[in-house]
Amino acid sequence: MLGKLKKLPVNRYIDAGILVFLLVFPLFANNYRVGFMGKTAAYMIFALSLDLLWGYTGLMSFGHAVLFGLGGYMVGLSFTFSGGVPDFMSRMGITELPWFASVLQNEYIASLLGIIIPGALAAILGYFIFYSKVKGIFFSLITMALAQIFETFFANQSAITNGTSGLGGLPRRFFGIELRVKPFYYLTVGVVILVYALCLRLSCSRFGKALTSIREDENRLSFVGYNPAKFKIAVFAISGMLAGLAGMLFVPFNGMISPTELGINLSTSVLVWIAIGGRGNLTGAMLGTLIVNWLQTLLSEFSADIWPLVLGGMILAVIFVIPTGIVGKLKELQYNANARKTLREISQKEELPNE
Amino acid sequence: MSEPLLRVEKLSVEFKKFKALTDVDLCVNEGEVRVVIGPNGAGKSTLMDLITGKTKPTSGKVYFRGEDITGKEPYVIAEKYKIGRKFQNPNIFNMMTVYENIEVALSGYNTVFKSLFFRRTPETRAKIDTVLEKIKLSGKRDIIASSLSHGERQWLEIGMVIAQDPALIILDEPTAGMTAAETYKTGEMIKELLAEHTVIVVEHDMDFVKQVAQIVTVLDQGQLLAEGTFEEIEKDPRVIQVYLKDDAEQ
Repeated sequence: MLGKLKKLPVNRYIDAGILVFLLVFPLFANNYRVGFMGKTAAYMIFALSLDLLWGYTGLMSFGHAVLFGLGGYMVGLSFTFSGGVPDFMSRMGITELPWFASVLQNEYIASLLGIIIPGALAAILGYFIFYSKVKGIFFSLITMALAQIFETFFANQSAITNGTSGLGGLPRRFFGIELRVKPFYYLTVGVVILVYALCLRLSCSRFGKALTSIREDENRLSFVGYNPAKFKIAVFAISGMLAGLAGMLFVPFNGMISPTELGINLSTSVLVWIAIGGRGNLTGAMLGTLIVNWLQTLLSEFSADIWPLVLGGMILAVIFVIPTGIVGKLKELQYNANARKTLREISQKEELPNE
Repeated sequence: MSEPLLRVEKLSVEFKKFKALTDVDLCVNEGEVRVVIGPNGAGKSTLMDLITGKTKPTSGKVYFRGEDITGKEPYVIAEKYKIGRKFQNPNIFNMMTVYENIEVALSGYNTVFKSLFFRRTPETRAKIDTVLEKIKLSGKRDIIASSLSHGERQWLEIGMVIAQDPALIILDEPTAGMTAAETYKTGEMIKELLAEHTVIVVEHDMDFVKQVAQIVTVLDQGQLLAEGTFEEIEKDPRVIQVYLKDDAEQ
């Protein structure tokens, strides 16, 4: 047992550390901080979902926040419509709710849609993108355009979404459960653990290996008998559903949702978190999200101007010093030590006479 | 006569008016070892690309066990018809370990659904171990493929082909760029393969060809030049001319 524990990759210890940290955090923090850490926990789910897509499969989505925001808007609209025609609509002289409001008024259906719609959008997009063999940077460009389109669309549909001001005054509810900050925080951490377990299971499965192979050499994989397009659609859809779930958990902590939550800004931020933490190992996504968001709050309290400078410095440091990210670097060091040992053992064996 | 395993009929392909292959016929029977030789640019690799679905032919047909597989997607040809291919330059998944490379290639779990519920069972482990044993990389199973030597990378790719359980193996210059010791080791490995599988080998090394070939197919400038046993080919004046010409140019 102990031997097996020792053999674990270094990042699994960090995972355990992060989860323990999340669990004990409310014991030492006030409600305001817990609310902030709750948002960060929701962001972690979001980062995990993108890590499956970018880190494992090599598909760099520049518009992942669309899926996150759609999840958030589903519950946001549901809460807004639940009390009849909201104020911002009556101010515009609208007296009737739009046709789909009756569907969204059912909180459970809205919550399910918050997962299903991002997943379905990703699957449909994936179908067209991957079967037409769009690859590499062009995937990034299409997803980036998507983020811009959705951001503008949600800002323009002010009769439904209250435009750039967004939907405010949203309750702390998830699938019909309304809780105070700390219990809701623990609910969110519970979901983080579940999503982490799911991602871990996926990445260790043969499905995960196929995804990594797609990142390494998609054409080679098709000569081993896989249809890469199907795998990419599947992972995009799974990633979309998880991103939607993250959005649904983020909104209650934030109390509001606006078009910035599904735009390019958040889409690029999450890429930066993963790049700093290290991609393709789940841990990096969580660690990067935690470090960047926490530093941002701490430094913003200290001085308003210093944060962009620090963030820029971190990005440069990652690009030039540790291109594989913090966790990637640690894994590399561990691997190198192990590999040296293995190779030494092999060469020692070969030196012995074969008798 | 019964249907051969692979039958290629009047296969032609053009790239922007350049005729890479013209009316090539080829029959390979079950259990046969076929060597395809020819000077550079003769269309050997192009022929393999057409069989494995990498390129679509302009005209002509490819039949596998009597079924028309012309122009099918590579993953269909690999999965359904079990044609495994080793590329000219080692084509492996670099940032994955040796073990993972073989695991991904292991046949039978290639759909999204099956791969999600795939579990490492004692049987699959044993199978991967056997493959690793065959390609002499057991000790390096946890090494990341990109840090292997050129020869080891070639072996790893051969291992991936074996793991696919192929009905037909296509080896594109398996000994290219190897040291003498590595070439020898590879030769041993391939001889083992030949005993159990139907194989098409593209090769330059004449000693190697002489060793393994039952029937040799010679291609030149995209056309079938000659076909026969090594002894027949060796004496064929057209083949001698092509190879002499090639030598003279070098």
